[in-house]
Parts: sequence; C-alpha cells; structure tokens
Amino acid sequence: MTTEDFVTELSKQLSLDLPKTSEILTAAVNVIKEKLSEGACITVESFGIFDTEKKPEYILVKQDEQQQFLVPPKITVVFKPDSAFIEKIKEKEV
Amino acid sequence: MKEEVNLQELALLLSKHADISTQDAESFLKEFFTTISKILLTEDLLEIKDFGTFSLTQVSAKGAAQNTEENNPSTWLRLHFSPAEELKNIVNKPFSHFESVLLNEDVSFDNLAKVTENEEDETSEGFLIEIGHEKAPEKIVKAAAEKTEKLPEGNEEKGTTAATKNEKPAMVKAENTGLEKHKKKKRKPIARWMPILGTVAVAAVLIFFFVSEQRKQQALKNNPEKVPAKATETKTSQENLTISTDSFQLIAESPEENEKIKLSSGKTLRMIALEKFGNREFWVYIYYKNKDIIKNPNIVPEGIELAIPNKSEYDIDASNPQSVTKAKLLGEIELKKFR
Repeated sequence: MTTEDFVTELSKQLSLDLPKTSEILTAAVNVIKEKLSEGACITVESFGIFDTEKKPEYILVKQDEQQQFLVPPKITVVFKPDSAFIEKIKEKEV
Repeated sequence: MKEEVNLQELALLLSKHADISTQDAESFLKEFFTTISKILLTEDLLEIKDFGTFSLTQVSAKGAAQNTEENNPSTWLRLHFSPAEELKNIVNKPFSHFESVLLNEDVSFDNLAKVTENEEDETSEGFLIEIGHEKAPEKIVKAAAEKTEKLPEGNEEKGTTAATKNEKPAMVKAENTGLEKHKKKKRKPIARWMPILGTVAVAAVLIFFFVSEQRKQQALKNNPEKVPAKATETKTSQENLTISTDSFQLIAESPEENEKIKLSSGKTLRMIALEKFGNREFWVYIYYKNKDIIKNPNIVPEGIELAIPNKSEYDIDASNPQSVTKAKLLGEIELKKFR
C-alpha cells in the first residue's frame, strides 16, 4: 500500500479531507523523526516501540576482491512490535 | 538514560506543529497507528513517505531457524520496519561523517567482528512471528527486549565487539531451538534402541518355540511311545499312575478298576474305541492297555476280555483334535510294526 492509499484510508477513518490529513500526517512524521533523532524511544500502546540502536563498527570482508573494510558504527531505527500487535498479526491469513 | 515518549507527549508536540488541539492530535496519532496495524492484517507492505516501510514477509522455517537442523513445519512471518532515507540520515547524524575505510593487509583489529559480504546480505532485520506456536514468538520478543536493554549508549564503543549478525532475532530463535534440540537428543538413544530390543525379544521367543517344537517332533520320531507316555505321566501323577518307560507298558495302579468288555464276533478295536471314546483312532490305547494279551492289533481273537482304559490315562478327548491326531499317529506307528 502506498502513502496515497494510506492517507485516503486515514482520512476516511478520521472524517477529514485529504489535504488536511496529509498535512497532519507530515507533521506527525516530523515530530516522530525529531524525537528519534534526539535518541528518544517512542512507545505506542498496543502497537510497539520505535527505538534507535547503535550498531558497532565491524570489518567487512569481501572475499572475491580479497579486501577488508572497516565499516563505521551506525545508528538505526528499529521497531519492536507490542505483544497485542503480534497477536493481531498471528490472525493474518498467510 | 533514554527519554521515553508516549502517545500523549507525542500528541502534545503534534498539536504545536500542526496547529491543532491536543485532543485532535491524540486521536489522529491513535488512528494513525491503528490504521497501520489494520492495513498490515490485509496487506504485506505499507509505505509511509518520509517515515518508512512496514513489511511482512513469509519466511521458511529453515530460514527462521537458520543454522539449526530442526525440521519445523510452522510458518513464520518477518515483520520489518525499514526507515525512510531521510529518517535514517537524521537518526545517524552523529556518525554521518564516517565512511567505510579500505584496510591494508597488515592492519588487523582483533577486537572487531568480521563479517563476510554474503553474511552481511543474509542478515535480515525484523521480528519473526511464528504462526501456530504460542510460546516461540514471546521468547523472541523477550530476547529482543533483553537485547535492547543491553544496547550500548553514548561512548560505550569498547564493549561493542559482538558480531552484528549474532544480534539478529533469528539467531535468538536458533539458540532457543538449539536448547530444545539438546533436550530431544537426550531422549533419542532410548527411543532408538526400543524397536531393536523389541525385535530381538520377539526373535528370541520365536526361536525358543521353534527349537522346542523341533525337539518334540524329533523325540516323537525317535521314540513314538515315550512322548505320550511322559505326557501321561505328568498329567496323571495325581492319580498314582506309574508308567514304565523301559518296556513302554503302562501299569495302572489306579484305585478305579478299568471297565472290561468281551470282544464279540465282528467287533474290532476301532469299533470299541468309537463306541467308548467317540473316535475310532483311540483304538491304540485299548491295544496299549491290553498289549499283554493282544499279540497283533490286526488280529484280535474273538471272545477275548479287554480292559478299557480310563480317558484320563491317555488323555483321550474326542473333541480335542490334537488328542485325536496323537492317537492316529501312534496307531499308525503300531500298525507299521506288523506289516
């Protein structure tokens, strides 16, 4: 599902027009980005946790080229689903 | 210590950014996350611009358990959130100025984990959700939560030597299954020996019966009268019946007197056996009982007084086919002597 479809669905649920929904969505995403960039972790009940993880530096070995690279550490965003969300996913028909 | 932001705090910030009431912001955010979870129940992919992509991919049990040999038939779903490029860059701002550096051959970092190119590709992030099993996903989530608690913060780079690959949730499952497998292995040797022991036991019983049957038949062939005599000895021991195995003559010491009949004209031993015991084949026992006065069972003189043996003496039972067969066999053996 694309962002447009998601905005349409969200506007239906909130009974808002599409431009307004899109505007608030952009603002919401910016707020989330801001907090995550500050190193905060966002907890949403019955959904999950958005957190940041620091992956340590490591040596990447390229066997074909017989080269080794020192890959720098990296901070990434991780999502850990809540148990309630996992239960919902379990109901999904595969 | 990490700052934790809940939905209410996020709504407060949103209300300022979007210029809406806190209540509206909260209901928007609630609906935002509810819609994501609803969509993921029907769709496998959800892309939200500048935020990220949620994906649900079905993975094989082998892929889920990775290095384990466990043959797990259950289905696994990998829930993965891939942050958008902009979000990635903002979050990784502290390390954004670092780049991968080509190392010279003589340079080595013993304290750093080495990951080959293929391994790096294989390491797929995300949460594995097992469909059909209740406990497994909880273990994974719990293990992942523990992992999060142990995550380095700030300047803790020295302690971060663990391989990136080893921190994947999939490996958590692999470790769990490894323990279960170890438990299973403990039970395996017994289970493996059970059918073998069973087969050996059955074979031993069959051999025992076969050998004993062979011995019986051999004894019967070598000494046809000895076998029934012995059998009779055992069964009639309570009736004080003594059997002389040397002469093959049976001397009854039973307190009960045997019935005596006079052989009338036209009567044969077979006819008497039929009359007294219900089967002609039992004639041989009448012959045994009167062996001292019958020289040849084919020629029995008329008017001779014959002692009729008790049924218990020779295990005479017309309703028992084995008893009849035995008598028939003995009769044939006796008749052969006079041919």
